[in-house]
Amino acid sequence: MYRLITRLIAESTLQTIEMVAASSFVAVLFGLPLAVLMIATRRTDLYDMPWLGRPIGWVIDAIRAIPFIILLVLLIPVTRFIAGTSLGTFAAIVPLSIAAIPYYARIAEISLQEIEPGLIEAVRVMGGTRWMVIRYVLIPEALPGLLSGLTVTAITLVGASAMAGAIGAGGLGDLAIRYGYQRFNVTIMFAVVAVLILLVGAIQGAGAVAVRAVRR
Amino acid sequence: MSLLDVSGLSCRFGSQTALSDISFQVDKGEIIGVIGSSGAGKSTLLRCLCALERPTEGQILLEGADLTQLTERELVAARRKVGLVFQHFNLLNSRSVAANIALPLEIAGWAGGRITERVEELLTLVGLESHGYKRPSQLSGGQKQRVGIARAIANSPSLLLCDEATSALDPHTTTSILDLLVDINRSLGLTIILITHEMEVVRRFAHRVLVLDHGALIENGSMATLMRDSRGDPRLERLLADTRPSLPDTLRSQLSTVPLPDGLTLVRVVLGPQAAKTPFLSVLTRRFDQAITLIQGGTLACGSELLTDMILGFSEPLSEPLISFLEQETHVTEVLGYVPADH
Repeated sequence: MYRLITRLIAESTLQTIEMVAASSFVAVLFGLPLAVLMIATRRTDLYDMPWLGRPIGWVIDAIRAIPFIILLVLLIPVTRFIAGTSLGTFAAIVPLSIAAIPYYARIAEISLQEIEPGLIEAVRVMGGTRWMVIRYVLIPEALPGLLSGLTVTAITLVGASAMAGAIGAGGLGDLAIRYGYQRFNVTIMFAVVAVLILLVGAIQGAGAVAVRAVRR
Repeated sequence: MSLLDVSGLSCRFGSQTALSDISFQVDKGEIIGVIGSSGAGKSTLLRCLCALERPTEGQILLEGADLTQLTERELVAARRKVGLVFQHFNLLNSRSVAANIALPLEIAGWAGGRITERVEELLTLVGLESHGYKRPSQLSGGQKQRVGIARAIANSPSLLLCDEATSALDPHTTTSILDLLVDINRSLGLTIILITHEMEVVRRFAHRVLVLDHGALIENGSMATLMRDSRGDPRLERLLADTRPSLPDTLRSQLSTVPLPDGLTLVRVVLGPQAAKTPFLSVLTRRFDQAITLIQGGTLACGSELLTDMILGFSEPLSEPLISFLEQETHVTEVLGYVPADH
């Protein structure tokens, strides 16, 4: 019995980590460029094209306005198209990523916004191109904030991945609902909660270490 | 041909005029002080000179190339000929001191080995040999500004602009930073434009002074010229007030515009470099049989020359021959007024 529980929890933990890691990765892959685009098009000293950045902001806000559980259902056709199925861990990565991209984009935008205009000016005066400003100033100077933003995003995704259990995604949330709630298995419920607490703690800790390493 | 030739420069933002019809020239190796109170147009002029701002009208010729006509792509290259030192340093905290100095070289596409060599050389030049590995946040204000200067001159610009480079520093550090700039000016023949609101800085280090007031250039000359022209010009007087001898308040309150019986005649006298080493007061006393007191002042270094700026108290009202002697021998003679003698 306990061996079964251990095996179930181990499997579900791996599935959760898989979902969180994959969707966090996608969130940075698409969210960061979107954030840079929003910042760079708004600044008069870089691209000064607010007609491009602003609509991106609207789309981001629109997606963020939809509760995740509804987004899951709404995105089923999209998930089928991308993943070939709407069930399982791999399929859950699609809606998780789509929810995480705008979330991370806004968080990254805040960090990028904090950068002193003087630093951008310094590189412009050195004869730096706009691309060099992004590469030498925006990204490296905002890096501590970008990393703590990623930590927050990953932790939010741990919670969201539990909801993805509703469409049969697997993972810890799914396990807790099926065994803990529907079958009243209190042991599994508590074990899952304990693992979730450890997982979130580990992500937070790793994030803090990374931020300290780049901040120096 | 001069290094920098600005003519008819005007800059307007909407209905607001930031600069109107500014013209001046700068020769290679000069140190120019640009001074004005806040809102006089100093920052706009600076932004135009380093091609961050396009003026509404006029020309800026830097080594023959007109900065106002270049395309964005050409400007990127033109800006590499201008170094800029900032008031708040603007160093990247994500990079070490050495990597901050290397940045303009990376941008200009230098090879890695040459960059390391050049950065070493620059660190030595600004006196930070052993600090290359540190982060800017570990340095003091003065050290940060040294890094700022090293970064600004890394790519051997033909013009170095200093934007209030010492305004965030204490007086002692200010002096050491300005000494460094003068050193660089002498050893590399680098042309420097100091933009500041501190007259003291301009007085000590600039060969020539440009005064901006409400967007207009109202003075362009040496410190001695500025002192001469300031007579009766409240805009210039206000700027000079911080750095010149002035009457103590008790004397100022007793000041009268008509001569008083056995009172003192107060006269401001500015003497050129040659007078600093002659016994001027003794000559006056002997030739005109006057008792003279020095109320305030003395000899000051102005750029590369010495100027003597004093307020003197004469025991007798000024006679015709004395006035004509003063007019001849001094840069400026200005009767400030008369005060009663104490009994």
